[in-house]
Amino acid sequence: MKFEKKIAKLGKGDVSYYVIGEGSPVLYLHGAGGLLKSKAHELLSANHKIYLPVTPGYDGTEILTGINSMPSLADLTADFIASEIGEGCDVVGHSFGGWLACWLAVNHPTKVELLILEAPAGFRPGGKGGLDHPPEELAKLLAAYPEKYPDDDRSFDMIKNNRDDIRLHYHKGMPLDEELVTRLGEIRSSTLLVYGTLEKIVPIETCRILKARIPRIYFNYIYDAAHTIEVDQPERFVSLVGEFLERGEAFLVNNKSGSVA
Amino acid sequence: MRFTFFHLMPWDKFTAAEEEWPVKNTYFDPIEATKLYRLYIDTMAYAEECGWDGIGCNEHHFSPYGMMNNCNLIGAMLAEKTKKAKICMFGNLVPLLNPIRVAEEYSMLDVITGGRLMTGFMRGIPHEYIAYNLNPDESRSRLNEATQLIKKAWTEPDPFGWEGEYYQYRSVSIWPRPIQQPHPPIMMSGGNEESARYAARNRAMLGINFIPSLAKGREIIDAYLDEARIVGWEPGPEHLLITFHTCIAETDEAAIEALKGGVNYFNSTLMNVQRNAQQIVLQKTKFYQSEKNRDFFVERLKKAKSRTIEEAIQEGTVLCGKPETVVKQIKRAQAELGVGWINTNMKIGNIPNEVVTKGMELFRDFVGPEVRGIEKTPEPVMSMAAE
Repeated sequence: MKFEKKIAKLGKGDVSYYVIGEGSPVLYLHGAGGLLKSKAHELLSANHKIYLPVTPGYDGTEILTGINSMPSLADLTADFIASEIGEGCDVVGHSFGGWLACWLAVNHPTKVELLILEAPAGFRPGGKGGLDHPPEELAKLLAAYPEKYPDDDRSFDMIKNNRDDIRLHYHKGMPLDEELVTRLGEIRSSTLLVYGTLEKIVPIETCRILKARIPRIYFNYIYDAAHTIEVDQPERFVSLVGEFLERGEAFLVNNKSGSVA
Repeated sequence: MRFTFFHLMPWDKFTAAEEEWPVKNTYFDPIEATKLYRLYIDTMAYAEECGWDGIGCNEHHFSPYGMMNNCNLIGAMLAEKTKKAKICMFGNLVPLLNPIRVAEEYSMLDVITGGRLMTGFMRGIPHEYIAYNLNPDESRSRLNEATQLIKKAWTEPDPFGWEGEYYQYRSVSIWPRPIQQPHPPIMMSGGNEESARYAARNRAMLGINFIPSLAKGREIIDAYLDEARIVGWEPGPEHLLITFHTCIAETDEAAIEALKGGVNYFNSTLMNVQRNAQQIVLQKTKFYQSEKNRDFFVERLKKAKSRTIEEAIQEGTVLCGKPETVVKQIKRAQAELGVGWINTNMKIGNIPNEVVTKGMELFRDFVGPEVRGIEKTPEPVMSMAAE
């Protein structure tokens, strides 16, 4: 299965995106490093059609006029869903993308069916964690197993520019989105929160904030994964997320035969 | 110094030295064992009266070696029979068990005892992987994952799921949670330097036993201290425990004679039955990741079997003699190893229970008062950092 590159012609401008797989649609919102097409996407694509938009400004694309905040980016994402997918879909957001997914769920609830937040940014009280580290240190914090990174045709400088500059265009480096925090209770989607046991970029307090406020949220650790869970443990990520996508809240109930421990 | 009283609960009426593991259970007399359990539990509870700071036991399977396939059951009985002694589960064989069940049972014990629990996270001895039909190659990685999961089960304030290599749970929130915060003390085995480093990385206490010499014990402890510093913490004596076969009698000669009988039975009868099963696991699997560690384990067993009691006394690897002698031996071990805890195993093999009880009273009246103040050992405190 291959990633197919496409362009969405939206009212506010063009948005590049990739698509892979067949099945029920899933929107994947990437992190602050830009879109890393991973093994996890390939595995999920066996049962789902995955849409992976590139946030304007990322990975060498153009910033769109008027799209300069997380809520405005959420509006653009809602337009993307309406244009390319349909009424609504399941949404997976990693880090920056998780933050965006929360705004999407709050401001456009009909567009989000199941919501999966993967170490979401934007909920770091006191500025704990974050990306402000020297490159070598940051690399260790991002992935516990960097040798598992998939081939990536983007240059180091492009990824660095994504992290250093483009993300700031949307949120100015704000560690805690207090306005969004007050509105998390409005999220109606069943939500799965996944967090690596080796996570250091997003503090555990993020999970506490989300767990306390989102009404139907399930918090799951992915063992032996750092911030880029999909790189460190793609199979575990897909095993859990795939189950949630397939069965919703019934994912709580084991339906496999055989022993557990 | 602090002292724990350890009991293996052996089936000390076993005589069929040529049997193989797993030993057929027609040798086991349940009626007689009812009395024996009662005797052993009473003896363990008596240790508190005799001044021991903790009372410990562990888990073994399919063998007269020990009658505790779930030491937590014994721990629950001890909780009821004691008031202040630590209840030391040294420990559950974590890779063989459901880790959530371990977290729950340990938490129950911690709450029932009002926070007196000390836990052991043990990998077990090789042949026990046959008993529970698990791949010995996975013993270390299962222990790794289960340890992290149990700590999360103890400390996580919200219900959580776990997607791991060996364990998957969709929603965990144990009741009760432990009384000790952030969680009860954890001890891990320091059978070799690799496992000592693993214990340090987990900020666990280090428990070493059956060392061939005090010098080897020192090497293991040094590896533990070194690794702890690498990961950013400084263990104290309260984090170091060493187990000794212990026999205290009125005279050195009486103690040596009693220990000889017990050790001989222990090695040639109780340990003998598992020899072949152990060899299969050691030779055909990666229970030990390195040949060095496997060879060290084998050599340690050989040496324990071939060494005389007199040699062991000379090397400082047993506590044996009249009270004055044992006081000197304890002071030597403390001086050379810097341990804050000594774990005494007094019911070795078929040593008569009256001899054990007499030794406990000699400890109470003479040894304890002499050695307790050697080192002011604080309570071990656990930290959540550096997992």
